[in-house]
Amino acid sequence: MSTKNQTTLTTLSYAVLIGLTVATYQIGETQAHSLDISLLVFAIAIFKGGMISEQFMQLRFVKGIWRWPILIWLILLSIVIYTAFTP
Amino acid sequence: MLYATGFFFNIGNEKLTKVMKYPPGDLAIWIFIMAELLVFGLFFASYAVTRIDNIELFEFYQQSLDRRAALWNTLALISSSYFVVQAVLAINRARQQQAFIFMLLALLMGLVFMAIKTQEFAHHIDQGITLSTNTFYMFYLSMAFFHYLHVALGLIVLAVLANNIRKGCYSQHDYNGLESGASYWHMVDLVWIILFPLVYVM
Repeated sequence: MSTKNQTTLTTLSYAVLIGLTVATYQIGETQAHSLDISLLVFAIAIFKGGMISEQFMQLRFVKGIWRWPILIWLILLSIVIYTAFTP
Repeated sequence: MLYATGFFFNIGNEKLTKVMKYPPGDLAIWIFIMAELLVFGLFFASYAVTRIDNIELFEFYQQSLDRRAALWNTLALISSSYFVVQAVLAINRARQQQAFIFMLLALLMGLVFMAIKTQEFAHHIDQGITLSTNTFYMFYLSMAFFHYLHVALGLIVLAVLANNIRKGCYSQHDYNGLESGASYWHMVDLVWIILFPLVYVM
């Protein structure tokens, strides 16, 4: 795949990140606080974190142990937040 | 789902698609990044756990935060990170001038973040809000200011990188220093991406 495609993919990721950020803000503005909404908002954040790790930090090209620390950090954080937010 | 974020887009240019044993940049910066993420992770976990016994307090004071400012801050940091990626890609294609412009744009977006956040902190100070106001503000101010300091350091790093690009310190085959600085800046972005929904929205 060419350099041009790499640039296009990065731009596509950027657009998705911007879109999800605006969506998160809009969800917050609805004032409809519920457990499901909170977990949805956090799931979006974790997905965005995954995109930063894979696309911006270029960790998708790494093979072996260094491929995983940030994704593991995100997963562990998700478990803690889920546990703390669910009754 | 997380794996899909990378797996789905697992294509790129020849140099970058080469499978690597180590992440981009110096290994030392990655050890530093892991240490930073551990600290921020503990902050986030402590916030969430403390919230269990203070849900009403947290939800009430969360409404006093400027969510719109946080939105613009998030957009600024994501944009900054994007421009840094583009600067690295430009160097990879031996386009020094383009890389320099992208790095300046990244710096500008980082400064936008600092300006908005400084205004937010000033507003809190005007209102007499401090770390000891209540538990929510103790966490919010600690986490936000700790992150703010990282942004400040990141801006210095970006300025140095921009200067190095201008002087032609990086080539198509040697830009390890640029990748190290870029990785640090993405970490700063990553932390804010979690902080924004956790403190301002959830």
